[in-house]
Amino acid sequence: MSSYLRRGLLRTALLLVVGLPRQRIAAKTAAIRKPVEHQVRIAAASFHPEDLKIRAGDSVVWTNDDIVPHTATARDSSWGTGLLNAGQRKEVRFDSAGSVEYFCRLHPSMVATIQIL
Amino acid sequence: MSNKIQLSVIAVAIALTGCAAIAKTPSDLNDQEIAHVAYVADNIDIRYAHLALALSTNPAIHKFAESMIRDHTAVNEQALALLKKLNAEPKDNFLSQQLMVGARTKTDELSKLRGPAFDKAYAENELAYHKAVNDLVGNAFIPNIENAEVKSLFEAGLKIFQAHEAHAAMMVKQVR
Repeated sequence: MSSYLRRGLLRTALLLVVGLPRQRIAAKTAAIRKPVEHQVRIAAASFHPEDLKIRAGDSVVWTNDDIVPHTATARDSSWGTGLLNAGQRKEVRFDSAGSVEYFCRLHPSMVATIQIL
Repeated sequence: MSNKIQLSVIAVAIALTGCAAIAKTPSDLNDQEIAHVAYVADNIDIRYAHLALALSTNPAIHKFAESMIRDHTAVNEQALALLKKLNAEPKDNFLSQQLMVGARTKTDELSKLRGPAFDKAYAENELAYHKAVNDLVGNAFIPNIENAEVKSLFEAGLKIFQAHEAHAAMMVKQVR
């Protein structure tokens, strides 16, 4: 076997030995970070919390604990929960990073924000 | 209740009813009478809303009116359910009666209007009405309600009606 070929094989073997654990670590890290379900409670004509920070891939669940119907609707109309009667809940998943403002279509003074990291 | 608040509550009652000859003050009402006033006040706003749906073609007015019907109906249903649970009946009183008289006068005035004139008058009345009722509920009723569950319902209702007041303020600007 030529020295050039021998060096190439050695290089490949080293890459396999050194690279593989790194791949295993990356795979384990990805497996640890599961999507999180965040809760927003609607009560007293407000969203609680009013400012929420989440990560891309996470979801938010709105629960209407108030005595009248509400919605949680994106200001640009890109997403929404639809009408939530008292006691109802709805989940929305956020896959893209950014900052979104939303409000209640029925009570427009109710506003809140979500920061997706 | 401080004298200042008591005077402002009486002023609010006069503003709502147009009647200066009040034998009692709203703070004198008991829980059942307060519940009756709230029920009547809700129904008055529902009636105004139906009038708006019938006479206005403005989408902002319709959206607001539909919210008023939805919310005031929901609050009334909860109030009646609570009173039933407590084995109590709402009790008619001087303030409920004066609210009804004031509402009949206002309804007659609004019924004569059409188009932008109606929209403006309806929006301004909703703002004034919610301001006055919220003041009454917050300063005269809630501090004097004895039953904890009734008080809790009124506190929750007040938050909703304050959102209505804010919505009415937006509507007034929209229809100017």
